[in-house]
Amino acid sequence: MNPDNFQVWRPLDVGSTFVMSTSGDDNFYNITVVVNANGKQETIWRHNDFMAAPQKRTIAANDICTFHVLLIVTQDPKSGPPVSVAAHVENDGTTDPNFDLQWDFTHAGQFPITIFAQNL
Amino acid sequence: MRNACIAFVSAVLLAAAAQAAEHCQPSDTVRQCVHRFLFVLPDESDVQKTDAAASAAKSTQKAVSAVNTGITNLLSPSQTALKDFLSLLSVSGEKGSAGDAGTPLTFDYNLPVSLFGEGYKLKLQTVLAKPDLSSDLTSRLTGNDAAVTSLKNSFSYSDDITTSATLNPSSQRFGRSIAPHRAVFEDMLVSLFNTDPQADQRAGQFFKDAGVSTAKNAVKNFDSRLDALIPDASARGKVIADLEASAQGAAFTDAIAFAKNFTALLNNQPQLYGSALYHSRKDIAGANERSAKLTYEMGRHNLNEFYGGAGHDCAPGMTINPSLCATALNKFAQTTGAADSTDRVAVSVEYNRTDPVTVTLPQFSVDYSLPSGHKLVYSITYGRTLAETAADMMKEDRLDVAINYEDTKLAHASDNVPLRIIRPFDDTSTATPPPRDRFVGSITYTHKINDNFALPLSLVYANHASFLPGDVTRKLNAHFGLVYKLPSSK
Repeated sequence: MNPDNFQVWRPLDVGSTFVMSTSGDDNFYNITVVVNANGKQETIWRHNDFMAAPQKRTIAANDICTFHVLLIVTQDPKSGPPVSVAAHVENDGTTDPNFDLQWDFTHAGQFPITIFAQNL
Repeated sequence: MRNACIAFVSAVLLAAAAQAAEHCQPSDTVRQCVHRFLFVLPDESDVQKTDAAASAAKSTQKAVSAVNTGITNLLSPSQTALKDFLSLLSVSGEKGSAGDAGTPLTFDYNLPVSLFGEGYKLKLQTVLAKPDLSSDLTSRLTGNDAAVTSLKNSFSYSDDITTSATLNPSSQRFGRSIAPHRAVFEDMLVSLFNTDPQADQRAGQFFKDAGVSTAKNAVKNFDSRLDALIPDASARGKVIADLEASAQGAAFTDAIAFAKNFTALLNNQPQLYGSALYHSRKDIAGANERSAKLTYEMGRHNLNEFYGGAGHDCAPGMTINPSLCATALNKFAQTTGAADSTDRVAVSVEYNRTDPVTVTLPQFSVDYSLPSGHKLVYSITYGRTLAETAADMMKEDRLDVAINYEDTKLAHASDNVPLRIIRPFDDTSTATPPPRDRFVGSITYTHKINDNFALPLSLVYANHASFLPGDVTRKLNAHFGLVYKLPSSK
């Protein structure tokens, strides 16, 4: 069973890193992530950004970051592994077990996930 | 069609009105408040798939992914017009072509092929099976059970190998991959995002003040009531407004409605695929075979139609106005009823050739030859689901009509030595040269029970009764079966 698609990850250490990645058959899904930080839209991570490498955001003092994920799966991924979205927080390169989740999708559909990651 | 459009628009308006009227209550927990707007993900372990967006918008549109594809076995007379290119594993009630002697072992590989350009996918498949004795040999060994058993026991998995290669191009015009459309899709999608960074900031501040956390081993106050976390009604009202605004942006309502429409058009795109097959067998199992098949499959109301008309400035490679294009696509999908336009027509041509083979078994007094033969098969199939017209329990059922014409020159085995020298056999079953042509028409109704089970019922007509599948003597026959698709595993 997938974790709740609304997460509040706090308090995170200054200098820790929020990391998000995705996997699955690239032909049949698309992921976009709106990154809001401290009252402003900071950037949008697009699908091809994830294909190049996991996306990261370092947490600074007093940061309140929100990662709004929209995953579109256009066909049931029957021929292989499911489409997955994984997120975790790293401290000095080590994954924090308290902030380490993965969502797996075995059917087509449109799936939003929101993660608050904040120092406060 | 018109009724479907009205139903869809009504459902969207009702969902939007319901969401507009939705408010968190003081008795809500933080989790409950957020999920009044951000729908809870469906349970992936549930065998009855739930369309996530449908849960959010309470829309009447159907998930394209659960399409009832009917019987996809190319050898079956009960063909469908929609090839599920991803369903590599399926089990049906029909007898397998590899015979009963052993369970075939299947190996699949999906390879991106840069040789033909980006987006082309080559599927390689190898099937190893323990074969049966050929019918020509079996007829010559009638009464000699010991020989039959001995020869059958000599088979191994290396005696019947089928290798096939299927090329499925994925481009802007062909295939159902989102990759060729990704850039324009994302531009349109992003134009519909309406997250509220300032509401997010204030919600984050509330999480800090109220000590809310979902840390895996230390969940705090996520399931606490808002009136307990914020006793002051005035302050609570402000927090609730911030949580609602943040969660409404997180719900991506407009973007999801657009994505559903885009997905419907994408999955109606035409497909063009070709395959080549080589079937190598031990001589006592039959002749080696090779075949090639080319199939074109087309559907109505797809992205090609949108790009060619209302969305002529929205095609990949164009400098698009994302917002206008998204609006145009939504309008196009709704007015055409694309999500319910499941009609598909598949046209294919196949060439099959068998090699000559000679079987010499002096210990069993068998010596015969089978010359080469060939077959050309032309096929056209039309299929659709009954979404628009049927009652609720039949809305995902399919109707498929298939017509096959075969121009055949079948091989006929003959003995290499006079019958007076070897033991004569009853050759009445093969004495009559088979007809050179064969026409088979079928109508198949497939009732979908759930994502894994379907019940197909077919009426099959052939101009030569003896060539209907199975041991039948009439030109018109009914077939009833059960199709089971293996569930996907994580």
